[in-house]
Amino acid sequence: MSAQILSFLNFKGGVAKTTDTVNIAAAMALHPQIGGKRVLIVDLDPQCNSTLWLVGREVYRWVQERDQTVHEIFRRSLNKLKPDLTSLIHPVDKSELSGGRLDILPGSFSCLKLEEDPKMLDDNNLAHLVLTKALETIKNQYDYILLDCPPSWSVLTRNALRAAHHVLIPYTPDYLALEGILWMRQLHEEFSQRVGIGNIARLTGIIVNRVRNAANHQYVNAHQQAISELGQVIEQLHQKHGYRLHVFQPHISETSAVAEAINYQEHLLHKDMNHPVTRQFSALTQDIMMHLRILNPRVVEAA
Amino acid sequence: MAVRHKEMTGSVKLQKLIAQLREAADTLEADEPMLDASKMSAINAELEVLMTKLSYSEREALLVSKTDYLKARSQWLDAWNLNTARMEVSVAHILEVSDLTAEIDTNTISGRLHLLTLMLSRKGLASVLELCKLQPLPALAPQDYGIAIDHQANQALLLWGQMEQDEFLQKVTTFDQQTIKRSAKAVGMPSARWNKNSRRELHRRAVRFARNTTI
Repeated sequence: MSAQILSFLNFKGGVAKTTDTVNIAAAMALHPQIGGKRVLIVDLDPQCNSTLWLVGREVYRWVQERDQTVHEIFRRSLNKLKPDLTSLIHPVDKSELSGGRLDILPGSFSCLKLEEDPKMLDDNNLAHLVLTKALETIKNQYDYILLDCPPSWSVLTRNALRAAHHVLIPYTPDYLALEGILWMRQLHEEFSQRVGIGNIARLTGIIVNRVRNAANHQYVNAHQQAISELGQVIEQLHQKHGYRLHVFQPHISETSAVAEAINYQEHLLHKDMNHPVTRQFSALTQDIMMHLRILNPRVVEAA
Repeated sequence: MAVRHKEMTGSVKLQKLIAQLREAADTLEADEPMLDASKMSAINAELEVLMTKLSYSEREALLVSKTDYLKARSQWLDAWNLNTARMEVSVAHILEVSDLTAEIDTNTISGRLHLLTLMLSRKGLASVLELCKLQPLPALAPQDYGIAIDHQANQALLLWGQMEQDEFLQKVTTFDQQTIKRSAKAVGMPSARWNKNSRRELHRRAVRFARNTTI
């Protein structure tokens, strides 16, 4: 069976795109109950945070020196060569219990330079399909492929939109992240008009991150208002533009456990399986997987 | 997956008893909302006795202690009540069943207890308790968008957000109290005493709501 490809994208930075990608991928692959899936993370963000988080600095440097990264896919494509993805994919973790495994296709700082190449310009439709074609060769080997995207409109983002079935939008409860969703909608609509509705990923849902602890009353109030504002905006996006976004549950709490896991270069499931935020990620993953089951891929509800 | 009572309970006689108990328990459960409130506690007690008997009968073939079984049963039924859809997916995945509901009626207590016995026999007590502990969440929300949206409160906030503060303070006493409360809740204001300051705060938040949600 062919993999479901999910793109984690928001043009606002710091909304926990990488945190969501890494920990949802880990839950899909390795959770003793809901796991058991074959999952690949493709790190499209030139900051390479997913890569650094999951493989550590040494391996990161090793793959950078040999360009065994996502950059190699684009480099070979520019030279009209076929990329060999299997040699680029790095194993991260696997579960004997559930039979799942987590792999990563490392990111590269060199991807920043892709924008400078005239062949990668926005109006070159073939440049948008590099990742789609590359993943074609391996998507039967995975159940889910998760794309960790940069927070910008670039050739990498456009490739992610063409390759993925669904866009999941990480969101933090504040006004700027809400604006990020509106920018996403606008660019998505413009791009889908250019390349054809149905040829790009559907804007499927929103993941709410960094919810403050209930003990702090002031922040709880602010969170409630932000969620109400989010509800009002997604309802308008549906009514005015035909986009039907689903807010996944539960909302992920702000906690130092995430930073701790990053510092240990471990995903949360490995670092502390019983931590409340790990459980939140497990339940969130379950919600996402259930929601995806009832949706048909590539059904874009643009007006 | 084939669910075979005979194998689990060990005797046809016991099977008959279980079937009767199940029927009685399901009937009581189904009738519960219709009953007179004064009769509820007696009926509940009766139900509890029936269910305990039924559970213990289900447990017999499993070599799990009665205490452990009752503990698992309690958490198991709570988990199902809390989120049926999630439990269906999890159990189907663990038991490797493509369509669980085609095999077992997961809307009945007896069906859920059958699944408990299957889980206990195949995965053990620890796995069952672990599954019950998964983050208790609501099922896929009945609302269209996955979160509750109070349309009436939102419309009120949008309207108030267009008003000047003086106009709002002047008119607020004429507004429906329920709408005020719900709108205040939507923008995160606790249901405290209402005075001029809290009304000003509500207006301030309504202005923010209207500004931030205009697309």
